[in-house]
Amino acid sequence: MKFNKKNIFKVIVILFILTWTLLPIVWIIMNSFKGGADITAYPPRIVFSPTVENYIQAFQGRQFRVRFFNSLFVASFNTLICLIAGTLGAYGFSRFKIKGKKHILFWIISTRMFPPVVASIPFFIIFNRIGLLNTRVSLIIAYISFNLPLVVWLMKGFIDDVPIAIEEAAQIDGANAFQVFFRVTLPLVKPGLAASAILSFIFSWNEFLFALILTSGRQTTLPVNITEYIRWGEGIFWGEISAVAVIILLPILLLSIFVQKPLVEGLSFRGIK
Amino acid sequence: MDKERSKSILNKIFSSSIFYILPAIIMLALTTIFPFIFAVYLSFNRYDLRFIQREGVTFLGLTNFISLLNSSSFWASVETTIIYVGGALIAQIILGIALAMFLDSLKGPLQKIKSIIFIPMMLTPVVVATTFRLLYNYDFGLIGYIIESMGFIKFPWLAHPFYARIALIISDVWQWTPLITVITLGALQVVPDTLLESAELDGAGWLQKFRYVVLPIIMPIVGVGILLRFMDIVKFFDKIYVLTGGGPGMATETLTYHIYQIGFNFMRLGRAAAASILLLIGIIIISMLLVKFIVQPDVEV
Repeated sequence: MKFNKKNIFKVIVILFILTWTLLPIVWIIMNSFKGGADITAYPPRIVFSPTVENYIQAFQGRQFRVRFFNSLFVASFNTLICLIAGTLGAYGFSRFKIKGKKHILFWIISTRMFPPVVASIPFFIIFNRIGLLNTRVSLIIAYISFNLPLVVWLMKGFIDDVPIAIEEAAQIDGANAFQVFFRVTLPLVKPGLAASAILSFIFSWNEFLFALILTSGRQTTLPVNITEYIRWGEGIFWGEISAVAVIILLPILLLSIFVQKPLVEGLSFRGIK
Repeated sequence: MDKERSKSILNKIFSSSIFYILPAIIMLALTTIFPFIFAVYLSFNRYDLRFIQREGVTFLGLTNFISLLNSSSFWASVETTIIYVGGALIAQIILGIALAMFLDSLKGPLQKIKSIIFIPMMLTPVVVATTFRLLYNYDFGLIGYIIESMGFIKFPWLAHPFYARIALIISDVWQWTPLITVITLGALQVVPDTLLESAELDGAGWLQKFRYVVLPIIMPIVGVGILLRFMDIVKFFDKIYVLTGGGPGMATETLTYHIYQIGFNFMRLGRAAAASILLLIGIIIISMLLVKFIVQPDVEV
């Protein structure tokens, strides 16, 4: 009897945690399918006749499609650059004797401490001077500041786990150092590459402050798009806002379902040992 | 012969560490060190975007810093930052560790819940804030309805200085408590069962076991999580922008938001840079204190 009581308590707590975690997500998804009257109804309606009108409206919004493309473009190119430079760097730090290695690695991780708002002011002026202000390229460059350290640390952890003996065997077969890296080590750290790529992509996709400061109009990304709706007229646009919100979340939800474990490791900075 | 030589040069390049680490180091230097030095330079200058054509950049020495330290709105934003960071961090630590202890005690299929609780961390902060803005809405928001159906009177959360701060903290707690939970769950694997059993034999209660056995072991690892959370909460901008815009009045204007206002609403980039240097100094000091007292000195970060 006592055993049962304890279990019932646990189930209640679990239900509470699930509700707390999922309710906001379910709510915004539900709202994106509500017609105007259903959204502003009080008490809030759980049963309603769903409509895709909000999504149609959102896609017809003046700059939605170009900003969707910008988000994809910036996140993809930034991820590609960080993945190449970051993996090479991680290999260097993992396999070579480098003077002051510990200090360089500490510097790389400590750049995470650097608040984006501090960098945003110089970035604004510098990009203005070199004519890159209000371009997608400025965002690709700015996002390197937080994604590259992540990739270096994450990949270093994965490469450290590859036994050197495997590489030495390949070296005896006559491959040069780069060939060993490219043909032997890289295929062995594919899970790490996937995790790094997905995390970088998500962090770029989610970024808002730099996008707000450095870009606008047809050059900016989806997070700015959603805040513009809110600034213009919250009362009128809640359906569209919800639809845009769900569209932004969709790729993230899909990605995070596929690569749960490495994502959690990446977020909790597996590199710190 | 020539082919042989170029091959050996190539081999030399490929076996030197510089080839591998240089691209990353150059890119990072350009996107972190260079902006930082430029921000320090700006902080000693008058760089006002409205008058830059006419006045140019004027060297001010420490004037920006002195004027900030004498400004009541600067100190108001420092106070808001302390309340906000303190409130959100303490809530996330307590809830995060408690949640981890609970999840750790689950057995069998119930453990599957672990893969759900981490979802909020991945979501776009702007979208999370938008969702909470909808939930907090006075006229038709779900939270108001829940409050009313429990017999209380609903109120406009975001229009009230005190509750607007609470509302922001709740939205951050919702999104980031899982990070502390995930890290704590990892740390709990390190606690040896034998130690817990012997403590039990000595007659230690649940709380005593936690306080004297579990906590000292997990704290260095959880401390790293706390440090990461601290640094992220200070940076925090998106949710304030969407939920309150720093208002009502200046009630939710943290230092980060204040810097944004000075720089990009009032266009005083030199002054904003000076404020951002002060923010950076504050972050470094508090991070060092956190490392010293929570992460513990013998742990290598």
